[in-house]
Amino acid sequence: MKVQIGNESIMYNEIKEAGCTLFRSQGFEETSVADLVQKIHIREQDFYIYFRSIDELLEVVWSES
Amino acid sequence: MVRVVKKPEERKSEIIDVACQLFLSKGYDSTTMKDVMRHLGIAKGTIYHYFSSKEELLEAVIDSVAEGEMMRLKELLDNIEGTALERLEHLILSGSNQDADDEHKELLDHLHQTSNAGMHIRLLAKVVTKQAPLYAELFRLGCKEGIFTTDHPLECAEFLLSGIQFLTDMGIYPWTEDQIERRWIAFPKLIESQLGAPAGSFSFLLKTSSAR
Repeated sequence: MKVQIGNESIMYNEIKEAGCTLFRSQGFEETSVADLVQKIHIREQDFYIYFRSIDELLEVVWSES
Repeated sequence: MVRVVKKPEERKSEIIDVACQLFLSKGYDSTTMKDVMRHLGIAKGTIYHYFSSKEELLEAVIDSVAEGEMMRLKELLDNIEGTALERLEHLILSGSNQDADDEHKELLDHLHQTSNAGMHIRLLAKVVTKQAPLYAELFRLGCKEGIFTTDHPLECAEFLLSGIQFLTDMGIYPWTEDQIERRWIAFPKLIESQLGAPAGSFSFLLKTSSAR
């Protein structure tokens, strides 16, 4: 069972960071949720706890970085 | 969605234009990638391809606003005949109080509202670095005509533009009417001493201050 501390949980930030890295290195179009979860060793369903889609992740990463 | 192939530069400036409108109408913070995407009918990835962050996009918007304003002034300057001082007067008087300037002001106001101080300063800096060469050219001409004396026309232009722009920015200095008026009254003399210009040659500036 995972401990979730609002939006600022460790996993949330980890996903954002990985998203940022992947989008930059291989481009947004080439990045899938599968790539991302593989990179940071989490389960795909964990990704969807924080983000509805890869699009939503891009929106967040893009606005904040 | 029909895929329209556009030249990268064209696409980029389209994104910048739309973003500029959105930042002004919705505010920078509430503008999302989705908004930009909807207005242009392009994919998110496309926007990301050109601007890897929202801040980068804002930077481009700022650059384009400053560049547009500089081009407008340059055109104005190219069409004025006369001595350096006459051309300077024309540049300053007709350079302000125009539609493009209003739009520029609107963006500045917006930058104040969103307490986007860093961005605001960057726009001011950009405007100065882009416009200073225009002024420097006139200062150089003035030196040739023997009316000005300066060994550093560009730096002089940067110094004066930064000083005046920064000091008269009510978003940075919340002056009262009287306080700002005092500054405007002092500027002509300060400029004259910077440029070694004859006393009273920049009195025309008082006209702009009362017009404000």
